[in-house]
Amino acid sequence: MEIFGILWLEVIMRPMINSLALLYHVLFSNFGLSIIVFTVFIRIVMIPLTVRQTRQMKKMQGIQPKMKAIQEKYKGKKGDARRQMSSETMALYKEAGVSPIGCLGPMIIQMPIWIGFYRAILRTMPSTPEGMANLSGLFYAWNPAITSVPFDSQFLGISLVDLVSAVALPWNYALPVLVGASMFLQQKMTMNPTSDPRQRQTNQMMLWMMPIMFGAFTWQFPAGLAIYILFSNIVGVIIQYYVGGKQPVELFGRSFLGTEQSRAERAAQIAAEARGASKKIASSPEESDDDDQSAEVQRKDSRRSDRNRPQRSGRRTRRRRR
Amino acid sequence: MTGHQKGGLERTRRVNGSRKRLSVLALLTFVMIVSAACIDDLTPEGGWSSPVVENDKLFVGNRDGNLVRFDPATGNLDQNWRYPRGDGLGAIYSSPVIVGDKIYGAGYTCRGDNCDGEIFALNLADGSSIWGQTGLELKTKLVGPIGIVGSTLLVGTGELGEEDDGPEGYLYGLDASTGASSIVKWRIALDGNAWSGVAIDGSTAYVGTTAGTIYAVDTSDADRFSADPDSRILWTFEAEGAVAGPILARDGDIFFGDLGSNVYKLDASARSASPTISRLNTGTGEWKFEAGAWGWARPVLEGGTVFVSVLDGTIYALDEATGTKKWSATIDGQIVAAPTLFDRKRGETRERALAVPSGEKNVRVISVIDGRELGVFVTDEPVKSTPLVHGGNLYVHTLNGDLKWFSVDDTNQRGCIDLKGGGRCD
Repeated sequence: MEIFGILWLEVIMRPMINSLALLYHVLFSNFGLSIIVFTVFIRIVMIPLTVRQTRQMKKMQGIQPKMKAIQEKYKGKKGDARRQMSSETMALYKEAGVSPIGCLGPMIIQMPIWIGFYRAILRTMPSTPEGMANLSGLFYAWNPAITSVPFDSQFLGISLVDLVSAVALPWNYALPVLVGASMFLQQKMTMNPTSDPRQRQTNQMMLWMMPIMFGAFTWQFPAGLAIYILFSNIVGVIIQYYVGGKQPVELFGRSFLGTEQSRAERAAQIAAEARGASKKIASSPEESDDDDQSAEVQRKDSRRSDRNRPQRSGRRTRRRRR
Repeated sequence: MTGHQKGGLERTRRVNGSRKRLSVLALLTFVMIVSAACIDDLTPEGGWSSPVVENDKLFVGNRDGNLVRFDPATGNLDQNWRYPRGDGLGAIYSSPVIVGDKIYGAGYTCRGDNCDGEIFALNLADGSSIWGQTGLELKTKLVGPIGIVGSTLLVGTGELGEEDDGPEGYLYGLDASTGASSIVKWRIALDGNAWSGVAIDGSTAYVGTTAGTIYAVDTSDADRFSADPDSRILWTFEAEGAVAGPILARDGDIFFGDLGSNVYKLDASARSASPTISRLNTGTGEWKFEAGAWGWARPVLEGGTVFVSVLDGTIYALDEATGTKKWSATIDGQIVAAPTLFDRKRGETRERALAVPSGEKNVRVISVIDGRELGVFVTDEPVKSTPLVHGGNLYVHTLNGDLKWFSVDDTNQRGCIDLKGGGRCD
C-alpha cells in the first residue's frame, strides 16, 4: 500500500501543488487565477481521453437500434436463449468497435486527477498550522513560489479557503447556482439522444440529479473548489461542443449554438424520432401483449418528452395535421 | 456452447448490468473523498500544546481543546480540574502561561477561515474562569504562544471574522486581572496572521506575522499610548518569508526562523535605539543563516550556541555571535516544536543533551556537543510539542492525544495516559 501512497504523492500531488504555486507566482499572486488557468490546462491535457469517451458513447449510441432489436428478439426468453443474446450483443460490440466499459474507462482514469486536483487546491492554501507545516515537504526546492507562502486566498472579494456557506456574499450565493447550471449544460451536451425509454428515463434523472447534487454540495465546499468545479464545467462545455461536432444545444425547447448543418441534421433526427413514435403508437393494437407493454412505455415516454419539449411537440402536431 | 463462450457472455451481462451502478458508485466515492478531504484540511487538529509545570502539577491542552491538569504523583488526570468543563475549544496549540495563582491560555476551532477562538484566564487552584463564565471570545485563529507582562496578557491573533475589511491580524493587550471593567486594554493591527504568537523580553513583546514582519511592541501602561496604540510599535523588521513559528527573545536579542528557509538573529536593543532600520544590520551583530527548509520550531539558546530546528528534520547548532554552523544532524520526520535541553545520564556523570520531538514518531536524544544521536524515547506516535523534563521524567504530549512519560536516565517508558478521558494507554 505504501507504494501507492508514494505514487499518489509523487505523480499527482506534488506536481499539481507545485504547478499551482508556480502559477500563483507568475499570475500576479492571484490564487483564483492560478486555479482557473490550471483547470483549463488539465482539461486540455485530458482532451484525448474526452475525445475517446465521446467517440465510444457515439458508437454505443449508433448501435442502440441493433441492441434494442436483439433485446426484443430474446425478450421473455431464458436459459440458452439469454446466453445467445449475450453472444450476439458481444458480437455487435466487436463489430462496431465498442468496448462495453469504453465509456467508463476514460472517466475512471480522470477520477484520480480530479480528486488530486481537489486535494492539491486545499493543500496549497492550508488554513491550519499542520496544513502549513506539511506543505513544506511538498514543494520542489527549485520552486520560487516557496517563499511566497502563505498564498493570498482572496479572489473577487471571497476567501478561497472559506466554505461557500460561511460568508453571506452575493458571489457565495451565486456559486452553487453557477456550478449546478454549468454542470446541467455539460450533462445536456454529453448526453446522447436515445430511443430506449428506460435509458431516456435514466438520462433524464442523471441530467437533473447530478447538477442539483453538486450545487448542494458546493454550498459546503471551500470557495476555491467551487471555482475549480465551475471552470472545469465551463471548459468541459467548450471542449464538448467542438469534440462533439458543434452539435446544437437544446434548452427550454429551443436550439442554441451548432452549425446550420448540425441544426438541420438534428431537426431531421427529431422528425424521424417523432415518426417512429407515431408509427409505434398506431401499430400497437395489432401487436402482442409484450409489444403492447413496450408501446405503452413508449407512449408514456413520448408524452413525457412532449412535456419537456413544448415547442418541438407543437411543430410535430402541426406536421401530423398536415 | 463452450465454457469459454459462456464465461464471456456472463462477463458481458455483468458489465452491462453494473455500468449504471458503477457510475453511481464512482460519483458517490468522488463526493465522499472530496468531503473527507475538506474536513481533514479545514479543521485544526491541535495536539501541539506542550505541558508546563507548577506546584508539581502538569497543565496541558488536549486535542479536544480542553486544558487539563495531570498529577505526576498519582499518574492521573485531576477529573475536577478541566477548562472548559464540557466540550473543548477545538484545538489548543500553545502552552498555557502561569503567573502567580492564575493560568492563561487560548484555543480555537475553524472550518476554513470561519473560526471561533477563546482566550481564557483561570484560577490555578480550581480551573474556574476569572473573566466570567467564559474567556474573551474572538472569531479568529489563536495559534502561537501567549505572553504576560505585569498585568497585561498579550495575544497575537489572525484576522477577525467579525471585521470584513479588517486587518490580517492583531496584537491584543488584555487585562489579566480579575474584575476589570474591560478585558481589552488595547490592540494593534498587524499585516498578517500572528501564528508565531508572542515572545516577551522585559517590557517588550515581539510578534511575527505570516506577512513576514516582526513587530517590537512596548507593552507598558504609559499614558502616552492611550491616544494612539500604534505608537507602541518600537520598530519592525521584514523577513524574507512568512514568520509562522514562535520567536525566542533573550537578553536584548531575538532569534526566529521563517518560511523563506532562513534563521535570523536581531539585536533588538540596537533596533530600539535606531528604529528606522528595517533590514538586517550586520554591524550590530545581526545575522541570517540559510537553513534549507522552513523554520517553525522556536530556537533554543544555551552557552553561546543557538539550536535551530527546521521542518525537513534537520537541527543546526549555530554560533550565537556569528551565526556560523557548528554542526547539524537530521532525524526522520518534521521538527515542529522546540527541543528540550536536559541532563542525560552517562555512566556516573551527566551530560547535556537535546530531546528533539519528531513529527514522524519518537523523541530523539541528540548530543549538544556534536549532534550525535545518543538515544531515543520511544513514543511510537508523532510528537509536535516540546517535551518537559520534571522530577527525573520526560513528559511528552503525543499527537494522538496521549501524555507519555519516560525515565530520563534509561529512556524507558514509565506511564501513559489519554488526555481526553484520563484512561491508561500503552
